[in-house]
Amino acid sequence: MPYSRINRRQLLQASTTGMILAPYSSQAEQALPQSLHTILQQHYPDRPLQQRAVSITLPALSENGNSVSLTIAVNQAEIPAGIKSIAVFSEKNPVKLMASFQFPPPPPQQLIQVATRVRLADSQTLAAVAETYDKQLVYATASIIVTLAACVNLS
Amino acid sequence: MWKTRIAAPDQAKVGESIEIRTLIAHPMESGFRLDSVGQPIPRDIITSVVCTYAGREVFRAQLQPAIAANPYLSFFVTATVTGTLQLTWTDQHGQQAHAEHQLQVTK
Repeated sequence: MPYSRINRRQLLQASTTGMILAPYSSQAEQALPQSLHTILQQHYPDRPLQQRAVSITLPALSENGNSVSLTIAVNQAEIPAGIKSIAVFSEKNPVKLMASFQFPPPPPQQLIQVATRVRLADSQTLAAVAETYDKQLVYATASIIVTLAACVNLS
Repeated sequence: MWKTRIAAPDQAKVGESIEIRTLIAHPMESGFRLDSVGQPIPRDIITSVVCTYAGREVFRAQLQPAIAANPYLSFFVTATVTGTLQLTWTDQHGQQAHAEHQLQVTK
């Protein structure tokens, strides 16, 4: 299924830029880029982050950064305490926090999955950080190549 | 006022997770664009979306300029009782838009 979303033109565009195409970035465990690490440190000072339970679904390549579909899901079998909130961070957008979602307490939501459409200023890595009700932080990252960036004239 | 849409099932079983998909027609002007004479276009965004179900808050989103124009949002709610799903969008000036959806819950 993942490969069917990428047509020949997109594949050629990506390969000419020398990028290696992962079919869907959420499937590969990725290292946290330094800039994103700094952003997360600022938002969550002195709190440990674990890369598990959360998954981001993002196309590997987008031709238009003005509207990119983004889905964040949490595997609740791994989070017995339940998810309190999710925040999404961008590495290269002028506003690093992209959106945040809150899930009020009981009855527990059976399914924590949120989808929206976002603007992306550049090819970059996103991070979704979920906070559990027992105050743990779990996260996932996903990378995307953006061909036409969302309009950002001021920096 | 802005045009809103909710797509959700009309009926559900108790305990079932149902997907609520919402859309609102709003420019979500990021504040990072320039107009034709080079002046910055001021920011104008929806900052909060709240969903209540039978009077109780079940989901809340805080939106930033990174959310695309005409914000689309989908999330899941666990069906418990027959009631109204009520959505409220609030922009940065405090203007609000409301939308409702009736949900029939069966055993």
